Amino acid sequence: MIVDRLEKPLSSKVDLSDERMFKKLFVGYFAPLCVFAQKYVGNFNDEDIVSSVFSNMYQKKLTFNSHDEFVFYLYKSVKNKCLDTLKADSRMTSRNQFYSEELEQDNLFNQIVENETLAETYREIQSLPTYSKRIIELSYFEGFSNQEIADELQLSLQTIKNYKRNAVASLKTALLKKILSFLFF
Amino acid sequence: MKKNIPQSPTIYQLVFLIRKAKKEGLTDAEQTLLNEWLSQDAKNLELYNKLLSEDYPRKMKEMLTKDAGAHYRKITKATRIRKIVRRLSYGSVVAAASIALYFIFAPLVSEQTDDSITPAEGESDLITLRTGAVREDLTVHADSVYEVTSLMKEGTMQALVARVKDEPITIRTPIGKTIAFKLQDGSTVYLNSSSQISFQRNFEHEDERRVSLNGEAFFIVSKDKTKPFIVENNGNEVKVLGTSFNVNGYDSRSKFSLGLATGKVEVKIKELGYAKTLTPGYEVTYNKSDGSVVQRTRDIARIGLWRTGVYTFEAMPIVELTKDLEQMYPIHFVFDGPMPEELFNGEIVRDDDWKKVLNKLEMTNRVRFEVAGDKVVVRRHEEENEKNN
Repeated sequence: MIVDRLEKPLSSKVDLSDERMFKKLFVGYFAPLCVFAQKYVGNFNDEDIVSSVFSNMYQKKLTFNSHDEFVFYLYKSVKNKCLDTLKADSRMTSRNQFYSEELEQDNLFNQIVENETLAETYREIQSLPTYSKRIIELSYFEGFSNQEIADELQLSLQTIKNYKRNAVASLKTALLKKILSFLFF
Repeated sequence: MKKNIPQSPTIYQLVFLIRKAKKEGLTDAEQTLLNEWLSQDAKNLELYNKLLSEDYPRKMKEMLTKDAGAHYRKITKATRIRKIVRRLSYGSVVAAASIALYFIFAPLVSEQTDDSITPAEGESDLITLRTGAVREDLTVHADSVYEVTSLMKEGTMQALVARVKDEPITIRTPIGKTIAFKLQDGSTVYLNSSSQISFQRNFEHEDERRVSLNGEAFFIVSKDKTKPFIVENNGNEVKVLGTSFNVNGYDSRSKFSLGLATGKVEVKIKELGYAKTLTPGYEVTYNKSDGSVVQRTRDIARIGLWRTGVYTFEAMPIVELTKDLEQMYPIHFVFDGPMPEELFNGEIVRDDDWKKVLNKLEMTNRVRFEVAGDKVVVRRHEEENEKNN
């Protein structure tokens, strides 16, 4: 997660030549930026666009004076690349053209706020303890029953149930509670 | 004395404030900071309300399925040749992202596969337009919005238009086909499949703009304060001045629902003497079989989303879900034994082969289908039985 307190300063420098910092930022921002890019280019080459923007920033070893500055640069680069891709697409219909012109005028600051509000929940899930996360993956995404998870992870059935309950409790977002509880109880 | 000018909040301060407001509410100081931003632009308030009322489940699913690991390795490998850490403790961090989802169907780029969807016997598989005794089959493109007058000018209709000019026009769609057209007043109607709508060609001499609908349609109504736009559905009425909304009410089904995307509408349910004014982002559902009326929030972006060829469903019992599928595909469902009690959420791309859709539903491990021609037998998935066999 990026913010867990309002007062927490985000003025610290971002230095992409720092291997560990780059990795952390990449893991936290890759998926949210892909979803952001999908608004423009659909889910066809969103990953490649985001990946190439990160690659570019990594190779140039860019540094930023604050986290906000980094995030703004990142989103702006992805957005520009998306718009370029749209414009370069020769098959583009006039409807798309209209659409891209409309999108170009969108307020980037608000777009970032919107996407990052969601991204924080995503990072919340990613930051769950390994076992809770693994159990969520197995049950929520792979459809394993409690017994199958217990067998897979060599844990007792009761432990699995407890882990699930705790995982749901820690994902405070109402949305996730709603979706997860459907499978858990 | 000079007061400090309050600073505008930063991106992450806003993210924090919005998330906190959503979860547990804000303190006075926090509210002040947020208000500073809200008061700057009407668009800010709009975004704030949107974020408060919506959860973006589809976007969240998208994020969770992304595999950052492969891309990260590619980037760092290209730059640094030797120092590749194979252990990648970080692998576990992104593992969650690589797993397929099973009960929300991601709208992947749909490939046009074989033509296994064929129209049901005896049913016309064409969109038809009737006025008086004249009937015309229409061939339309799903992405275009047509002028009703231009639809009428096709073929034989043209010659007969003059003779039937006072008759109402009825447009009907078969299973799996939709049409979008503009009424004389400039309002746009998106008619979903297996639906029928009737209206006067010209509203000029009417006090109101009245259309009657059996099925589902999304309306974008042009503003005219002097002539309310009324959608009549099996005795229920939706009255508006200028707005966009979705009405779902098939005569054959026990459900009538109205979802509002923009503006303000008044909904009247005759049997109950119920009248209510609805604001955007809400959906009212009236269940004819038990007389219940439920109002709930709905992701505005999802209201009438079927127009784009995506069908979404939320907290839907299997019996209702299969009825929706029957309206989209030329199949019919038969129920055998007890049905699963779980509710289903998801998204279907209309162009997908229905067999693929059934497969996806089976992957929830709650339900099993047995296909025989166009008949599909539905059974609850019995885990224990299968294991014993």
